[in-house]
Amino acid sequence: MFACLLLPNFRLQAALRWREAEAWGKNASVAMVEGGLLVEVNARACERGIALGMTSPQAMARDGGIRIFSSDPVQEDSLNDVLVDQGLGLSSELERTAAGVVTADLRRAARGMCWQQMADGVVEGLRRQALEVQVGVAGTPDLAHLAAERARPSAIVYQASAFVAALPLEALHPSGPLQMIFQDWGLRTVGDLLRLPRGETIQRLGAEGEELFSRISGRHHRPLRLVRTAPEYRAAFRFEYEVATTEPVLFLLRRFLEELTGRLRAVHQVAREMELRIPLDDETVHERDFVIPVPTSEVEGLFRILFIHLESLRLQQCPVGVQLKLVASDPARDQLRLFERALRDPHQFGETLARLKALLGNEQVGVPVCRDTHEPGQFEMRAIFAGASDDRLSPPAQGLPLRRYRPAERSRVDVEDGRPMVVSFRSTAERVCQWAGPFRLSGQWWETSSWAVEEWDVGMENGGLYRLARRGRDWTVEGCYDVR
Amino acid sequence: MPAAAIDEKRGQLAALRQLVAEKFPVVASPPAGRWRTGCEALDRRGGLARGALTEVCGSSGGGQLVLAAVLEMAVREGFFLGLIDAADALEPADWPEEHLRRLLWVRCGGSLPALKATDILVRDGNLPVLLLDLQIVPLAELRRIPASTWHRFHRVLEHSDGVLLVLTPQPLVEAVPCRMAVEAETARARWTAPRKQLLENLQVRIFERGETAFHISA
Repeated sequence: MFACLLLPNFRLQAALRWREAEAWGKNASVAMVEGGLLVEVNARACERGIALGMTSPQAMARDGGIRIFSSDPVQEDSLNDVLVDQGLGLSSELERTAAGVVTADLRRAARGMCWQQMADGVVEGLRRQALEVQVGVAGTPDLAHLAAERARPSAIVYQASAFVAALPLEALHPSGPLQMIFQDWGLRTVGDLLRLPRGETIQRLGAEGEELFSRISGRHHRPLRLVRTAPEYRAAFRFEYEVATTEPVLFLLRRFLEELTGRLRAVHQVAREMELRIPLDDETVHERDFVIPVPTSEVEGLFRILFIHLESLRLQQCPVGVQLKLVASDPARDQLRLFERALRDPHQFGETLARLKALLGNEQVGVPVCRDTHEPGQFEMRAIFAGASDDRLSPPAQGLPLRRYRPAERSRVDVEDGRPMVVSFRSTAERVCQWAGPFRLSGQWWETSSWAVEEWDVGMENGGLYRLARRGRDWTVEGCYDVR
Repeated sequence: MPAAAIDEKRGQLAALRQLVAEKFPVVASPPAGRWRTGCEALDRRGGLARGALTEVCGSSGGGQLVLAAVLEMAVREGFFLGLIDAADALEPADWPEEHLRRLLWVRCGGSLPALKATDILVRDGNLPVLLLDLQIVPLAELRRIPASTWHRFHRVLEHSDGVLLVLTPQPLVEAVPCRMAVEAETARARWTAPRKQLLENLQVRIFERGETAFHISA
């Protein structure tokens, strides 16, 4: 058997996600507009005489309170992921048939499985996420799709011939010319079509007719185009107006987390990173990534990290939306090694890191990693615990470590016999009594960003040890090894 | 002050401490043990006192060697070390990769944000060893740090088993239980010596609470 999960009014459902709390309530007429015409309407709008293909003014003439939305690709992608996730709960062999439609191959399901119970479970699971779904179960993928289109909310097809015979021909979505032929022949249902001799009819109708016959035969198992990519755990919302306070953003983030962590838990995974994107009024985006010290799927711990960030966030423009993505990982993969001391309270530590980043900036807190270059002072900051399991040992360190001045201090250096003799900086002049150098370094000579530097380590008469650098004719004090 | 008078004062101080310990056992809780760094000079009194603040003052090279010793301990013991770098001066290229992997580097632009960051990390209590590096911050700026800041750190630490090392150019921390004066070898011949050897030859003078005060000239 195959199961088809179909979200009716898919784009409308995507646009209406996270809007349960909006003042206009559930009973309003709602429509989706594309190219100036209505392409999806809800049941309430149908009752008010609003039909597909109308223009927005026509719809508003029939119902002044109608809410009209336009398509939101980010939310649609997010909703598709929810559906794929639900489908993967039924079978690992899953096809993303169309936007808002997935088909699962259940031929390897346990024997004696109750299809009705399974379909009810899917409907209930998505209803808890405020989503409406139609589930069709049948012997072929195409029949399952047809069943899902007719399901209210679920339909199980045990007798394929009886099911297809009762279908109107429009359910097969024939092309315009074919539809005209059916009308001319006086055919109304699929049963009428099946009563005609198959070979001669296909000869008259051509390739499309043959494809129609194979779809309704109940014997044609077309191969599924299986979903191979891991589902993404993301949610997004675009406000209809600019928001000036953090409350609506926080409210949505909590809802996002509740849903996304629920999905993670369903597949026994945890979140190891969060990616927050806040689109702003001037079309820029505030972006911030959070690494979770100990990956988790607990809402409270993750929410606290976001809360602390937003608490101290100062934006130049008002937010017009919010997006959240969780990066999933296996719970075991990101744990500390066996002999490492686990953190006492990982969630607390996650909050602490968020506080530090809020105080000092995102790039100011982390684990330093040297870049693959000989250019002095080049490094990058990585999140703590990223790559903590790497056990490579580097050669033993030599000498005192440098304390680098950022930025380097400009200085005047008197040179004699090609070596520094007197160094003047910070309004003092000191005579050099010990030195090592020059150490000449250069790189990127094949690019415009080429660099070359000559470094000296010098000991002053006052006991201080410094590193000097010469770039062209300019001398700088790069840092100190020892100052008394 | 004559020696007899000093002895008398010490006796009075000891009696007062005993009285406080009896009346307020929670406040005067005993130290939570010591953490051996593996550097002989630093471990002379048993290692770094847990649940307490330790001030490391003296030459900046000595301070860097203390950081090297603590990072070596972090690698050995498998924990993460928090370095609150007030001058944003760490040079990652001068440290072995395995040390950097154990380091949470908090880059601050001055002593004030560094103290705030330290406060956050001390209260968090997840990192067993924190190192606040104030050694190349201008003295004038350091002298503006109110004494209450250090008292606050003392109070938070004494209810934990964490270690807070404060690297300063001069004695600065009020009422510190343990102060170490460190000095590194800087002779030209030692500039390229293995860091391990420099650590072995690190000169350390340790002063614990109740001992004679000392002073290091600037």
